[in-house]
Order: sequence, then C-alpha cells, then structure tokens
Amino acid sequence: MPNLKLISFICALSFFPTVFAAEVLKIDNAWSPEAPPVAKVMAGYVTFSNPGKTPQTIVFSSSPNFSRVEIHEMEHKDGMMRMYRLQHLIIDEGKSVSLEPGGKHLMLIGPKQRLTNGAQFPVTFEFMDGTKQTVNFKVMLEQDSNHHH
Amino acid sequence: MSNTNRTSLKKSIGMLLLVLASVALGFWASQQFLISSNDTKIPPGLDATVLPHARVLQPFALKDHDGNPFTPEQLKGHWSFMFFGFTNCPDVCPTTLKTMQDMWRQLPTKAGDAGHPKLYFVSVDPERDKLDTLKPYVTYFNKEFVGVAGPLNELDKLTNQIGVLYGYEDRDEETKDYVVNHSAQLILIDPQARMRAVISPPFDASILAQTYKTIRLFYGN
Repeated sequence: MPNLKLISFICALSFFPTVFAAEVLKIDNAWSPEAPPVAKVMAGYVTFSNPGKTPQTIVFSSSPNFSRVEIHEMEHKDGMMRMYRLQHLIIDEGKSVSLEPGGKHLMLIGPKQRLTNGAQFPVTFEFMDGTKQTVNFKVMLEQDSNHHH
Repeated sequence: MSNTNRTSLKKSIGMLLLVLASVALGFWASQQFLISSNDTKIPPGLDATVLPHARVLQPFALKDHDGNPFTPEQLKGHWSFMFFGFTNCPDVCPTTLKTMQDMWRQLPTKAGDAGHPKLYFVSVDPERDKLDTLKPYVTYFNKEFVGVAGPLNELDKLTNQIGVLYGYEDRDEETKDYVVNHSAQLILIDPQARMRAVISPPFDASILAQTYKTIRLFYGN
C-alpha cells in the first residue's frame, strides 16, 4: 500500500513542527500580584511568543496550587467591564500575546493555600496537539519595573 | 488741637475705617462669589468627566465593613472616591485598589487632614461579599479604605442615581461560580455628598492624584 505509506509520511511531516511545540513557544514575565488574604481568586499575567512557523493554541491550563485555571478576556461593553472565559488562546506564528492587567488574564481560582510575595507556583499549558509546557509564576507585589526595558 | 480739628480728625478716621471695611467686605463678597460661581464651573484640562451641576445623592442605606450605616450622611465633610466591584474579581478590582493605594501614597495629606479623601469599595455581589470578607480584602490594600455592602435594593438606590451598572452572568453548571460584570469607573463625591465627577479606566496613580488635587482646589474642601 504505497499510497498509505505516502499519506502517513505526509502526516508525519505535517505533525513534525508541532511535536516540538513545547520547546518552540517562549513564555516570559510570568507573574501574579499578591492578593488579599481572603481572596478566592488570583490573576496571572504572562507573555507568550511564538517564533515558530505554525500557530499554537492553548486549550487547557492547570496548576497544582489552584482548583482551576482559566483564561479570561475583558471587554468594555455597554459601560461595563465584561469578563468572559476563553476556550482557546491562539498564538499565531511570529506573534506574541500578552496577558496583562485590564486585558486578557489567567484567572487562578481557589488557591490551595495563600501565596505571598516571593512565592512561586507552576502553571501547565496544554496545546491543541497534546503537548504541554509548564512555567513558573512568581508572586509579586507589583509588576517588575524592569519588565518593559 | 481745637475741638473742631479733633472732630474732623475723628470724622476722617471714621471715614477711613468705613472705606477699609467696605473694601474688606467687597473682597470677602467677591471671594464668596468666586467660590459659589466655581460651583457650577468645571476646571479645564482634566482627565475626568466633571459634572457642572453636582448631583445631590438621594437616600440609600448600606453598611460599611464595620457594620456602621453607610448613607449620604457618611459622605459629608470630605471628598470620597467610590469604586464598585466584588472580591471574586481577579483583575480589575485588585488592580484598581492597588492603583488607588499608589495614588494615596502620592497625596500630600494624611487621614484626618483637611482635604484628605476617603475610598469606598462598594460590593455589587452582596450574596458572596459579606462584611467580614470585605474588611480584610479592602484594608489589605490600605488601612484607610472602606468596604461597603448591603441588600440589592439599597445598592440599586445608589448605583441607579450615579449611573453605575452591574449584572451577573449565568452560573457555571459544574462549579456554581458566576462572574459579575460591572462599571469600572471611579465616582468622585464632594464634601456635600454630591456626585461631582466620573473617572474612567485605565487608571494611573499620578494622574489620579493630580486630577483630585485640581478638583479639590477648584471646589474647596
């Protein structure tokens, strides 16, 4: 069945770039503002860059330190800030997407214990192709002022 | 000195005092006029929407985070910032409270000083935000900040008259969690408990401090 072989070869080829997706995506400036002691949610901010040749799509996020992790989008609508959950986050090839205060952010729900300034916790992002990439978030009082330089 | 001279000197002094008194009175009156005329003017070049006619707040009865009444009476005698949110809010509310804390640090005044404002964080999610949650939440950012909550019908009396909107998304079937959408403006209330200005996000602590200073100096403490 030469055709089948050819097809699987082509499939393998087309999958090839995404097999190494985890190493291709660059994840920077992962931080989370320290929250009040009673807070049941925290926010996570991070920049994803995709220097690869194919788009990357985050389909699931999780952390052992939280019950749930969701990606939320924020929009100004009808005079209100409306927040809604994103099912996917696509990072196009050659582009970066920043999760930052007042915009897209990680909603970290149900901290297992209080995380204060200086603490770190891992968040694992799962991509459409099943690969995963884990990054450590640092809890800080405010965003690093060096961050943009 | 003759009696007639003395009389005319007395008269002159009397006239002089009268003139001085009228000048002083005129000056005082013009100051009063300036203050009262500023009341319906707006300071130029501000990063805020200032109402030319301050809106007197109609009654509402909420509670502050210590359980004390929070009504228009509590807003008298000082400027107040009001922000509406909820403690299960991950981004906008803590970010705004942090910015307000940064602004507070830039104020030339401290608690108790003339012209020092107050900040009220009013919960639009009274079902989940009880006073004993609000207090540690709000004071985490600044000990002076005050959390406010109360039943929805009383909350609506306040939000309706100042144009603040909020609404609830459907509950997640699995987790029973729900998201609250809300206006993210800061409302500035003057010391006569009148709505004076609306400031829209994104907020910057330095600009806020400058805006507040300009408004306060323009309308007085």
